[in-house]
Amino acid sequence: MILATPEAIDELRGLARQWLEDNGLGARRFATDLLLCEGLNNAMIHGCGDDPTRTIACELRRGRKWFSITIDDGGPGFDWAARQKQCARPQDDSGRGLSIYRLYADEVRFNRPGSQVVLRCLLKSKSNVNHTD
Amino acid sequence: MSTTQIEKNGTQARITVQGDLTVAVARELRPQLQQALNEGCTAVVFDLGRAGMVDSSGIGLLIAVHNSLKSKGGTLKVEKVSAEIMQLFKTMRLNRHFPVEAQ
Repeated sequence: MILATPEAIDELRGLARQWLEDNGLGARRFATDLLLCEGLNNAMIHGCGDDPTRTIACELRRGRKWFSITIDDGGPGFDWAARQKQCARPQDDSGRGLSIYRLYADEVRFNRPGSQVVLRCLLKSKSNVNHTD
Repeated sequence: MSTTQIEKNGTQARITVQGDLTVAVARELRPQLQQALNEGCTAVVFDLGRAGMVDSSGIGLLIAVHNSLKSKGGTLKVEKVSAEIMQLFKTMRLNRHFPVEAQ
């Protein structure tokens, strides 16, 4: 659990980088860091309304075939099903976060209200980007 | 800790990003860049040679700057991009809108 502040997010990202190294996933550092940036910044801005007294829960877990990032902001959520059908136009200066989830994670799941996202990545990834492992 | 440096020279501005071009930096840079554009800047170069990460907020900032410059006949260039950020930019098709040069 961290405070919804940029400083706390940076600190957590540093811990996550160490976690990746410790779990033999160092080659997935960029993709995982990008997913964390998107998820945690969304949680801070939209879920917590930029209120630095609010908190974000984040868990990284490694299984036999997957590792996962779970982020929960405890906020009101959003209509993720509708948003997933939308695609940012080339000239739009926002609205690419969900596209990045889909590109860099193998599976994206929201809870019903949309306040929690689980990003799952196969250890042998099939995602749309190349990893260096 | 991410830092940015803006160097202005006539109608040109060069932004050097050290660290991450993510939401905190994008929020800080947006009004500064808007001011530079309002003061007549028509050529902006982003130097990402020391940037480790660019997220959707950073991408949004680059597109906003590109849109503003394009409406005034100006240009944006992004240079010294790492292989991983280049892959992200290509996947998001940013390189179709403005020049993106690798490290």
